[in-house]
Amino acid sequence: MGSETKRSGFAGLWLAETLRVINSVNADWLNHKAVSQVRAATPDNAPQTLAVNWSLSVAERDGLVQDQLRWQRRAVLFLMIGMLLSLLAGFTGAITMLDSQQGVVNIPWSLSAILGIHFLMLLIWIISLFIRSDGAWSGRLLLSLLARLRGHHGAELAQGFVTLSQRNKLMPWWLGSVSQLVWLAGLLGSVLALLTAFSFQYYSFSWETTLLPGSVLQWLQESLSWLPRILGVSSDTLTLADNGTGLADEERRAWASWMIVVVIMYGLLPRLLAFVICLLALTLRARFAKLDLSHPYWQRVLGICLPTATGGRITDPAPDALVSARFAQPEGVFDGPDAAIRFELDASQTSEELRLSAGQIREVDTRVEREEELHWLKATRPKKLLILCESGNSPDRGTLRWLTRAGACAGKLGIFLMPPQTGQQDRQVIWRQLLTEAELPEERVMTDWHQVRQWLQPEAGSSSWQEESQGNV
Amino acid sequence: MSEPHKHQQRSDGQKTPLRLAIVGHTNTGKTSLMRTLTRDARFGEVADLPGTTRHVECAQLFVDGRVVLELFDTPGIEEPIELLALLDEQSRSGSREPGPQRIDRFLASSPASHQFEQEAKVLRQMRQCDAALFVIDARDNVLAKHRDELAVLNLCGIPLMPLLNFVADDVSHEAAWREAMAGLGLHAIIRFDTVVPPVDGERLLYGKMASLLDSHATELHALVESHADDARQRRSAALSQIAALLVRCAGLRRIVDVQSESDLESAAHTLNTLVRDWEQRCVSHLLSLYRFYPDELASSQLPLVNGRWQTDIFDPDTLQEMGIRVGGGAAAGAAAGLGVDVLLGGMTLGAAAATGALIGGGWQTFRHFGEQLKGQLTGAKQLRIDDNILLGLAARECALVIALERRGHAARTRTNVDGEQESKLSAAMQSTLPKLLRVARRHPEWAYTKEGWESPGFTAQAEQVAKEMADKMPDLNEPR
Ligand SMILES: Nc1nc2c(ncn2[C@@H]2O[C@H](COP(=O)(O)OP(=O)(O)OP(=O)(O)O)[C@@H](O)[C@H]2O)c(=O)[nH]1
Ligand SMILES: [Mg+2]
Repeated sequence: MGSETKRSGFAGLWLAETLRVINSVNADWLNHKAVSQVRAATPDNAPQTLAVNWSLSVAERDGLVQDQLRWQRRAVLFLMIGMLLSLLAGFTGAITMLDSQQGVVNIPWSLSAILGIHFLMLLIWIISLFIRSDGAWSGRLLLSLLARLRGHHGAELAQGFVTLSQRNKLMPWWLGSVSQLVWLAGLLGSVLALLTAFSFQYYSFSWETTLLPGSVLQWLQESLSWLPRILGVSSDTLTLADNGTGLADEERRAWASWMIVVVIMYGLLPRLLAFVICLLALTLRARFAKLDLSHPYWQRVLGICLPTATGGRITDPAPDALVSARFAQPEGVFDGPDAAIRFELDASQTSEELRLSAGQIREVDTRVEREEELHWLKATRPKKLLILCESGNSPDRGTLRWLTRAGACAGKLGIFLMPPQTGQQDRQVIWRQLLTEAELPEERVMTDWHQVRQWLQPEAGSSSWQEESQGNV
Repeated sequence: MSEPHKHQQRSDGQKTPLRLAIVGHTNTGKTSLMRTLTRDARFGEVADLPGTTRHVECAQLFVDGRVVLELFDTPGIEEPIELLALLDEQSRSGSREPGPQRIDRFLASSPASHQFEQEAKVLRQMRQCDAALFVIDARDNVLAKHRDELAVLNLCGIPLMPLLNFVADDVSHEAAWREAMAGLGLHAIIRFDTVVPPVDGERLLYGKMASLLDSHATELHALVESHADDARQRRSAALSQIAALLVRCAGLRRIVDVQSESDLESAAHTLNTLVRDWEQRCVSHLLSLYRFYPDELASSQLPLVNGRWQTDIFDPDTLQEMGIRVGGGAAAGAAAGLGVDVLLGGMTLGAAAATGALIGGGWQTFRHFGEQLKGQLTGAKQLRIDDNILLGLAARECALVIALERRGHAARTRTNVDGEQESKLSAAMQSTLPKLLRVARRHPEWAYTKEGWESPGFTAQAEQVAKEMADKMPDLNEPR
């Protein structure tokens, strides 16, 4: 997953936030395999990393990663166009300004034209850093800018970017870096313009004023020279001239380079510094950027990625097939008297409807009873055997096995399912199903006493039961 | 791993998680219990048939991403009488052996891989666990096979904790089971129901287990705490989801140029459809938040809910049933079968202007009122969702949340959203909620922005609404 590593950090968070904005619930949420991959990629189970990794896997599949890359490229392109325009504007602005002065460059005028607005805006930006705001204003501004970057999922990407940046207070820094870059380009244009103009044209320099006293200009020149001098660019040889006509070539050259140095020092340099600050702030803040994991969307995602439990690891697999007991056709002659067994029945479960004398109905539950009963059946070999079962109890393999063993000791086996208590009716169906699966003929499973009495009727001749049951009906 | 491994230190210094086997007779709800404890409605296979689970399956429970508990679902025991007979037979030669030794001898013998293969899996697992939960179907009589089963399981030499399942059912032989357990010295019995888990069922279960297994008490308590935390977080996320729905619906409006009654009706129909879609989305979000599966829903159309759920929120009868009186502005809409508030543009403008909406709302509002003003001149009408419908929506979603909170993950039938709960909630919120939502009324842009595009204003409003609902919801641990 190459792009996964690339989309880490802010880009990953941004993708995640974008997915939240797109906010789709689809079946992949429940794709256990994907989830286990995500979990494997997040050994420490940090919720935010899980959320991001999950988002990455979804984004990758849906092509959102590509959308984001394209969007980013477009954003960079837009920024570069903006910078280029700014460069041109700076360049032409400075050239025009110099041109309009017909050979004599009025230094204070020119410098304030080139640096004035820049200073003002820089000041405003610095002040704005100290104003607390919820970022709604800058958010809307940036959103309206970013909305122009169309493309697939462009709007969602923009919204995701803005909300994420807003929550993590990145907004002023994003706006800051963009504006610093644009200004940098503009000022660079001005510097280039100065260089070009001073290289290929004849200029003289002057310090002119109408209103201000001369000392102000003096002070201005000295203070402007302060920074260049610290950095080793000296303006000591320069003297203030009222009009540029009397300047020697050397002086003119010195003034020209002084002007360029001043623009670089007070224009480019602070902007560069501001840009670096913005960049630092961005990287620092972006490193600690957080998703709002309390949002219902993330709660849902985490519920899947960071379940409080995971299951599905089979530690002891199922056997291919289970041996299950079958009812077989009993072999031999069965001429004993009919018998009935109350199998695992509670005393409260009466079977009076059977109307047999007590001796003929035997209770079977424990191991000993079971074994004794089998011995007894083998000895008496009844023609018909009726077993009464509690249909509320779940049938199980052990029960079925014993029933088949008992069935093998009698001519015919019938099973009566005791009427279930409320809420347990479904179990009767299961008894039927399992008994038929074990190859007991369907009609031998009975649920109503009338059916039982009929089944117990001898087919031919008489049996010990006949008189009794007829007498009681 | 033939050694029963008891809380050893692992190489990374972390304690090994507590290993707990879920054992019991077949069809007593072992796998269902796993589903409920793991909140995973897809765990294993659950069926009415005995012998459904034929393998051992492990689930891990986490606290802060660390495994603290491993649960093992095992096959149901089906031939305990025969198994105990075999064990007795096997040890007749060397009597008075310790139980685990007898079990190990059995596991090494050939019946363990034939007739008693399923039982052998259970016993083998128990030999590797720290304790076992013995799941009982409380509706069953205490039979000889159950007693033999307990005798076999007791041979494994690990603490056995009985869990009476199905206690929410009418039929129960709880007293008989308690007596039988007491006879074996098992007094700490847990009452449970995997379909309708008791409110504090989990807390009691883990609490009792902690007192039984000293060395793991801290982890178990941490587990309980973390689950309680999760429950609170889920509730608050659910309420945010509902609040967002309400705020969006409150802002919803449509200006219609009314030429005929049918214009109004078709416009109202569009609005109704929209709200229904949103509600449906909200419901599926809530389901997945509570880890009930929306794709299961799609196949059988909201199987979690039936009856009144499918009745339409816009049906005046539905509202009446919830105890909401339809009146005032709704009457006009309801008369047309709409359930939507019909307002003349001018009236709203008057009221909204008086509340200072124009000053507070900024440009968006202004533009919007411009439209209304125009509407008044041209005889256009404005449709919006009535207060009572919003109230009904709120009550219904909140009742659904309560139902989901109380539903066990082993439940296989649909949930009935409690109608009584619904009317209680709507009565509680009647006086406050519509008033709160009035702010949202002034922000149609909130309704029409895409879901997920929350502006700071929207978020703040939704938070308030969520808080209001949270105040009116019953406490998470409130008994039913
Ligand atoms: N009403 C109710 N039904 C339950 C409860 N627990 C389990 N059931 C139902 O009982 C049946 C069996 O549940 P399972 O979880 O498959 O039982 P099991 O013990 O895993 O069964 P085997 O794996 O076959 O041994 C299913 O139909 C469940 O829905 C409960 O507490 N209440
Ligand atoms: Mg099972």
